[in-house]
Amino acid sequence: MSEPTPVARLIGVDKSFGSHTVLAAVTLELPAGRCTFVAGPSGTGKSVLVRHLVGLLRPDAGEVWYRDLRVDQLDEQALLVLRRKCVYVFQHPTLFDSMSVAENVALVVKYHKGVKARVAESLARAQLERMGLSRLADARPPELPSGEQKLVSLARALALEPETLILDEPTTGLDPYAAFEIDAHVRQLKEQGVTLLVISHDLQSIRRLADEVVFLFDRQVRYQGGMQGFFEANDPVLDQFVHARVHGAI
Amino acid sequence: MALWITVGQMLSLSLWALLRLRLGGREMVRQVYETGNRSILFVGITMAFIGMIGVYELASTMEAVLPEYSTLGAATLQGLTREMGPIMAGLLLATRVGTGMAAEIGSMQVSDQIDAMKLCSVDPVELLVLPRLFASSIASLGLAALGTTIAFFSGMAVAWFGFSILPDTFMSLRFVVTGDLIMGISKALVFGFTVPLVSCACGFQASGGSEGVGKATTRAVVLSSFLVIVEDALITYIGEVLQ
Amino acid sequence: MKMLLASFGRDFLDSLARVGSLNVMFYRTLRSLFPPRYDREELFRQLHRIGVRSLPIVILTALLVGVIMVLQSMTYVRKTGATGFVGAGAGLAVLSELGPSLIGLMFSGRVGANAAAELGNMVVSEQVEALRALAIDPIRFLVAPRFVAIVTSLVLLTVVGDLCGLVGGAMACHWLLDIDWRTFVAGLMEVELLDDFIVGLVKAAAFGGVISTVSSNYGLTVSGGAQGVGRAVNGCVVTTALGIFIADYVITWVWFQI
Ligand SMILES: Nc1ncnc2c1ncn2[C@@H]1O[C@H](COP(=O)(O)OP(=O)(O)OP(=O)(O)O)[C@@H](O)[C@H]1O
Ligand SMILES: [Mg+2]
Repeated sequence: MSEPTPVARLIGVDKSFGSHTVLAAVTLELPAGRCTFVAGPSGTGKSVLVRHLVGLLRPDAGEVWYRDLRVDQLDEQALLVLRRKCVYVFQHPTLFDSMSVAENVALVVKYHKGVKARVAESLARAQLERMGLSRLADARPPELPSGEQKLVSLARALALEPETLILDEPTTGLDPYAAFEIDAHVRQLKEQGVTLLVISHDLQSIRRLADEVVFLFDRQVRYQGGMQGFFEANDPVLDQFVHARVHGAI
Repeated sequence: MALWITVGQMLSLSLWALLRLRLGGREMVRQVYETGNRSILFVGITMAFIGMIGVYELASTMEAVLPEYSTLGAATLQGLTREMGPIMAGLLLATRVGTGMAAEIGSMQVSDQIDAMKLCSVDPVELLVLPRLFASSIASLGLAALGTTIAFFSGMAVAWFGFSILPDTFMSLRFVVTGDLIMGISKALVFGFTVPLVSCACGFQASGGSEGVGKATTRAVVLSSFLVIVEDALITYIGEVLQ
Repeated sequence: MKMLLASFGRDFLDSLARVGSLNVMFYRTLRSLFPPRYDREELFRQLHRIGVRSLPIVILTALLVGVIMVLQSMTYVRKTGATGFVGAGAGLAVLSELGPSLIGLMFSGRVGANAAAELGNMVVSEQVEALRALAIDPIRFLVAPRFVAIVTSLVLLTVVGDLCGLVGGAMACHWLLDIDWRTFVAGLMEVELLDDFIVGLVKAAAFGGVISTVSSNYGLTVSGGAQGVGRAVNGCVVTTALGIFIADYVITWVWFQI
């Protein structure tokens, strides 16, 4: 199999908040049509890393590319175009709590398909139906358990029909069944050829779905390569992470 | 409804404290300083504009009705003393100080700090509200006096440059009588007392995270501004009847 | 002393930065209004929430302002004997000045502060970032409909308020001062009121712009949880009050020049 072309690239990205350096010279490629997982201990800057890809954060130094767009130099208007193709789903469910679930999804449809409110609403319900979420359509987000909130966030993002989808810890804090349900959706997207970037420390998900794994540790990319290689790597840090050992560098 | 119960409780507690002369001297001085300091620039600038607007409007009304300006300065000073000075100071106090108190006490309430205080058997009303209440009455008096003065002088500038009325003519105490002064002072005191009372009560009623704090703050401005206007009408009317 | 100067300097720079970002906000809001692509449903919802629900407080405020103005001009009338002044003075003051500015202040407390708090909460809970990530421009989606709704509501409310202010004035004459309300109306008729009515509406529109821009700006720049939201609301009402009176002066001044 020939090496797939990268959809997105980070080249030598530095990012600090005040005196706290989160990323130092991080270089990363996201291959097209594959499912890449980003793992790493809590607080290493996984969320910070991927937010650069959609221009929610700008690097202190380095370059961010999406295909032939220089993301870190786009203005807000141009970023809106990018974010229609490359969608980021937040770690915390960020549903608009003044609207019902169906309205949350319909909002995106209405804005990007330019259709009337009523049409948008029925398209939104169809989207929820496809994901088996019809029963939630009229609920208010704050009333839902977190697993369902995450599913709705995913549904809302999919209403954009993105070519690249970035999921920030989609299964963290969910019970195994809810996590499995999310993974099933991810697998389906993978089969449809959507490029995926998933942040997760859920080793089961990684085993089930990953083509590539990126391991972030101490401001840098510690490992990037195939999934098998990740679990078998001869690196004490990876070993500690994979086997949840108490003693070690993490 | 629950809000008015809180207001009532706080009112009776503060009157009781006033009777017993338990005002917590040093904390109160600090609060007077803080309240005054926080609002002095804001009140100064705003009142300067109000003075200019008022004289512009009054002068053009006189032009239309009386066609002469000899009473402009005297009428301005009287209007400022008994009406515009205190009511504007009251409204500005409601926006500047009232929202601050509601936000402060509101965020203490939603983060359970008020309950924590009660558990240490510290009375939050005595600790938080009383000093603010008396401090703000005193600060309100000062701000009204300062605001009136600033507005008068800025109005004088407008009269001079805009309508060629010399300061000599404008500066006239002819209309102002003791009654006007008493009315102005009592308004300032009452407004200064009302604003923190209502705002703190709104703060205590806050619930539900940052959303609750926002709501409490909004409610505090609206209620305290509205009460200021109601009380102003009442006091003006009482003054009118007494004269 | 040095510390005082330093803090004054910092405040000054902060205010300059704020004025700058307010202008940017205003410009971006205006740009997102053309072409008019905001959705009508959202606009109607905002109009109802903002306009209709502010009606009671505006009516009460306006009635009281009318009463206060009549009582006030009475003291002047008593000294000078110019009875015509009751109607004229109160009418002019209500229509061109106190009506718009006091209704503006109340409205900023109810609506502006509310908008700042609402937007602030959306920022704190990352809902605004989520909008961006879904390629929806927060200005177009959140700010533009509010801007239109606030300006429209305030102008319409001022029309209602003007009317109530005059009614309040007439009632005060009749019941509190034992002056026939016809004297009040006659005084009103003596002066050209149309101009003052119009300038009042121009002011209301400008105040609406100030309230919307300031509250959106403070709301969207919140940082730091519940306390941050409280601070933003506080800053919002203060800046709005200042903005209202500055705009008021500028409009009054320009109006008398032409
Ligand atoms: N806006 C910000 N301002 C200041 N510091 C920030 C900001 N965003 C992130 N950080 C810091 O950057 C570091 C990395 O945060 P990040 O959220 O990317 O971690 P993470 O790898 O996603 O961890 P988790 O698994 O907990 O989500 C943290 O130490 C955090 O304190
Ligand atoms: Mg994270």
